[in-house]
Amino acid sequence: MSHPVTPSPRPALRKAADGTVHPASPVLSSLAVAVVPGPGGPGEPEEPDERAKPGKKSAKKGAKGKASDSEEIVVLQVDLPKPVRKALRRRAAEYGWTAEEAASQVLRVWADH
Amino acid sequence: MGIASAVGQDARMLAVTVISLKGGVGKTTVALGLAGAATARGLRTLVIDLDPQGNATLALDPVSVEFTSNDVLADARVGVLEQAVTGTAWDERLLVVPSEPTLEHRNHPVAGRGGEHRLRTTMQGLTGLDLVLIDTPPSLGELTKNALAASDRAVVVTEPTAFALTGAQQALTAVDVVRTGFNLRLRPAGIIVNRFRARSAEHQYRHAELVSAYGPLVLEPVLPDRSAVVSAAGAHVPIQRWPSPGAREIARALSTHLAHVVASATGPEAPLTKGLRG
Repeated sequence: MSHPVTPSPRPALRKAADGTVHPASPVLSSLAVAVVPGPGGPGEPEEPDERAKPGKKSAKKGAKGKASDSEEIVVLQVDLPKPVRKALRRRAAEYGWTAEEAASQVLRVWADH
Repeated sequence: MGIASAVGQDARMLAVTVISLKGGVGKTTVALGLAGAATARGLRTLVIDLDPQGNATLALDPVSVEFTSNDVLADARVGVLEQAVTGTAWDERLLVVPSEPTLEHRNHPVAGRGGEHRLRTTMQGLTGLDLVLIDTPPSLGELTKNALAASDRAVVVTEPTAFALTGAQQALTAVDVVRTGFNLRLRPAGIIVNRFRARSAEHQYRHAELVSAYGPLVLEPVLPDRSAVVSAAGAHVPIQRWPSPGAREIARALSTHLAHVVASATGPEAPLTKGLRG
C-alpha cells in the first residue's frame, strides 16, 4: 500500500522583473485594481504631462498618453504671490511631489464638492 | 522617545486605515487591538467604523449612538464627524464613530459621482486626538476609498494563506492607486500577519513568500493564533486587559506594531508598496 504524497504549496505571488508584486495567477493579474473613477467610469490615474508649460492654453497628452477625453490634462495659469508659490513648492516637496501635482490634487478635492 | 511625544512632535493627528480585501482575516480585530494599544499608551484615539457589519462598533460598546458613519457620509460637511463621535466602554480616551448596516448603500454610489473625499472633509477641524483608526469593509468600494483618501497611513492585514496573500497584494495596489489619484499623504505602514501558527508548514511557506515579496513592509512579530483574541472580542474588552499569557503575547506584538505605524508617519519614507526593487 503506497502512502499518498502531500502536494507542495504553490506560490500565491510573483515578482516581476521591475520588482513589482503581482498575483501568481494570470487570471487574477488581469483583474487589476482600478479605483479612480472619472465621469466616464473607472480608469487609470492621471499622469503629469512633463511637456506642459505655463502660458499655453491647454496641452493634451502626447503619444505616451493613455487618458480618455474625460482625463485630458490642461494647463491653468493662475497668479500667485511669491510667498504662496514658495509655500506650495515646499509643502509639495514634503510629499515628494511637484507643485503642479499638488495643485492638481487640490483641484480634484475642490471639484469633488 | 515615546509614541505620544512622537505624535505630539508631528503636531497633527495621525489617521490610519486598516484594510484587507479578503474578509475574515481579522482586520477588525487588529484595528481594535491597535486602538487598545494606543489607549494603553495614553493616546487619545478615535475609531471610525466604516464597515457596515459594525463589528468594531459592537465590541467597543458605544456609550450612546445619535449619529453614525452613515449619517456622516450622507452630510459630508466640515465638522459633521465630530457630532457622531461618542465614548466607549473601553476607555475614556477611546472614542468611536459607530457604524450601521445601512452604510452598505454608500459602498456603491451612482456611477460617475466622485465622492472619495467625503470622509476627509468631515474630519477637518477634529481636535484633541492623537490617532484616528478607520476600520473598512473587505472590498474596494466607496467606503474603503473614502477611508484611504482620509488617511496618512494604511495598515494591511492578512493571514498566512494563499487567498489572503492575494488580497493583501490587491490592497497594497489599491493604496498605490488611491495615493496617486486622491491622497498624496497616503503611505503603506506595513503588513500585519494575523493568526499565524508556527507549526503549520503552509503558514511558514506563506510568511516566507510574503517577506520575499515585500521585505520590511511585513511587520514583525506576526500575531499568533490565540483563543484569547476571540474571547476578548466576545466579552467586549480590549485584548490588553484579557488575563491570559496568549493575550499578553498578542498585546505586546500589537504595541510593537503601533509604535512602527507611528514611526512610519514621522520617520523616513516607507518602502515601496509594489515590492522591493531587485
